[in-house]
Amino acid sequence: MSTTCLFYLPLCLWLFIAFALLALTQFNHRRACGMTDLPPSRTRLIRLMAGVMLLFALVISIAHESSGFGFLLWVGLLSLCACAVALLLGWYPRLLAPLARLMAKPST
Amino acid sequence: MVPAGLKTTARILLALGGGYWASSASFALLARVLTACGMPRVDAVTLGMMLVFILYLCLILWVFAARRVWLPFWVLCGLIAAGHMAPFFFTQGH
Amino acid sequence: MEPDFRRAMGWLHTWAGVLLGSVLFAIFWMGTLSVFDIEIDQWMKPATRLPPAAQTLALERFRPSLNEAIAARAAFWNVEPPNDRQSVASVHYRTKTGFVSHDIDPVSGRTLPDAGTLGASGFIFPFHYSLHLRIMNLGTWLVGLASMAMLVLCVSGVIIHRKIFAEFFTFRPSKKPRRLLLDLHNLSGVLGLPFHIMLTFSGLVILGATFFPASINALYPNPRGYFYEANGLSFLNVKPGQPGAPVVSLDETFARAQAVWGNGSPETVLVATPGTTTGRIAFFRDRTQQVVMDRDVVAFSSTTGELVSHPPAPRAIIRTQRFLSGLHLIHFHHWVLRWLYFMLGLGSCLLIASGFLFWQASRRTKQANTFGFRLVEGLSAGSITGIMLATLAFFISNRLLPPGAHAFGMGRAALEIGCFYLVWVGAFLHGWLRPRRVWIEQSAAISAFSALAAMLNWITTGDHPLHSLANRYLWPVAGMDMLLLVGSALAFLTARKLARKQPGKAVGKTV
Repeated sequence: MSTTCLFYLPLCLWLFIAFALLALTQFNHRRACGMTDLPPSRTRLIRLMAGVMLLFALVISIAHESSGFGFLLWVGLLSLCACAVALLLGWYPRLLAPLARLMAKPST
Repeated sequence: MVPAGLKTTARILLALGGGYWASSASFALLARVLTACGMPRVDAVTLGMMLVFILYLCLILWVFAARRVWLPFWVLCGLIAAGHMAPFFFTQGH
Repeated sequence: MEPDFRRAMGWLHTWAGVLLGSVLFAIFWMGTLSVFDIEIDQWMKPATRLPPAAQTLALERFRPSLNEAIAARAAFWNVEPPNDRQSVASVHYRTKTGFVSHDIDPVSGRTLPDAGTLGASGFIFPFHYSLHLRIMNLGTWLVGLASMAMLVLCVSGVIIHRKIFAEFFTFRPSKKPRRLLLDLHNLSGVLGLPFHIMLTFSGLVILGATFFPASINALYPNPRGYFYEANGLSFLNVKPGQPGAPVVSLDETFARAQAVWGNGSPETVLVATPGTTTGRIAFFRDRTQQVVMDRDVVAFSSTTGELVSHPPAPRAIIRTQRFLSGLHLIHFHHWVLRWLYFMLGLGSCLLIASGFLFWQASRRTKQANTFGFRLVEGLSAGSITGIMLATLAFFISNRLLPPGAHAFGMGRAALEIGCFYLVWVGAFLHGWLRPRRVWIEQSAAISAFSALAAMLNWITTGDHPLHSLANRYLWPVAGMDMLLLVGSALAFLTARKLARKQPGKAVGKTV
């Protein structure tokens, strides 16, 4: 039970954030959160970062489980977490507004 | 002119039946070639069994996507002929 | 991309989906339930709901059953010791007249009374790959056709999806039903795409020898030769011997098998042609901690106890194939993954259902009264909500039929299946007769049936959800009851929402 909480839940959260970042680089989802568009360079940077996060999750889950279980787990959670982002954006996009605001902050 | 319904039926038959026959024949050909190259026969068959579905899928999509049905038709015929000709070139089968 | 190509793919996607959608839904629905086949078995066979035994039963304790098999001249006999999904042991053997299967109490070793049901592993799982149509293997071929169609649908769906990345996360619950259905279809299709493709492809590969026997016939004298060689079962390739030979001690042979493995426990112990001079005892190693279905079989002669075969570890190609079959058959024990499969499987069901409903929603205004439209309308209701109702009827009849029930020349297990088909056919008829109300009424019926199934489990066995939650060994039962209750609530909400929106149309639902 404790491994469940210490590994799977953070992994889900991690994938969720990665997908939320990806979604929030898209104009229609940013608008739904009440934000303006991002500059193209920032968009590219964030997409790259999200991609790295997704790959890192694969590495982590393979390191924690065996290669077979880790891969299947990653594929499955990828679908579910992306789905969670889509549902959240459909019903309560405002909940992602803090993240969207954070993405727009100048990096100083 | 050929009626549209007949054309569609021909395509479906060619994709499902012809595609099946052609992939089955090329699968047998592949297994023979691989064993002739020294691969153990159980590996050759298993590898073919994983690839044959991909081939079948591509053939089905191609038959439906092609503007004219003749090119896929002749390619399928070629594959079938090649597969069925193979036993005469590889005698060490069993 | 050329517009012609896209149009061709769109045509293919539409018609492959409409024609084979019903079959695909049935396959995916039954496959999703099969993820929890052993757990459903425990729900359907209350006598097997036992706490796990502290000590493993010696293999010799199964000797009486083995002797029965020898007396019946069985082709094989096997025992599956208890494992962490199933606390009872089970023995199976096949005689000339049929297949015999018994559950064994893991503590006392006595045979449990026959539950009179095929359960999930005897009905739902075989339905998944054979549709319960055994004539000329018709069901399996139909499943193969539908699976190829699924691959075609996945590829053509990606091609015709205009904005796959721009609408990757798009879900707009406030839009019109038609738009919402398309969003649901795209969302479940795109996000679940790895799952749909992986599972469909691996399913085809598992049955590959059935669908494409050509190369096996080219290289092997008979298909069995390939099957034995690929699965490390070449010890079965012996001439039939004379009956009357003894079978050596299973426990002593097992000790020898363990010495070969180094360590490990058996998942299945098989005695092939027991009691003949060429009989074999084989131990299939428990590989529940890995995806690859590599069972590391050790075989001994059953008359002398000599080691007959222990195939070397499989090479890369065979390993790949076993990885594919392992990821499809979920032979491994991993609870998080099992639940993931279940949810993704429901996602596939949603994909097929929403596709069906979108086809109708986009044609309703123009063709609502044509024969073809009415046909598909009833077909989709019967194959989506209908199969759910039929499955629930199967569960309910399992709890209602008395032990040893017999009617219309059918035994209890056959009667349960009769109920399944009766309700399913009824659902199709209902769909054709009352197309305006069918989704509301069948959703309401699903809600009632699921709640009833959970209630009947409580009434007939006394294991109410709180009791089963409190005992670890009853968690499979608790899980099943919970899913039934959650499904009931969801179906109720769906029915209510649909009734309010009348004449608005359906949204996807789960049980």
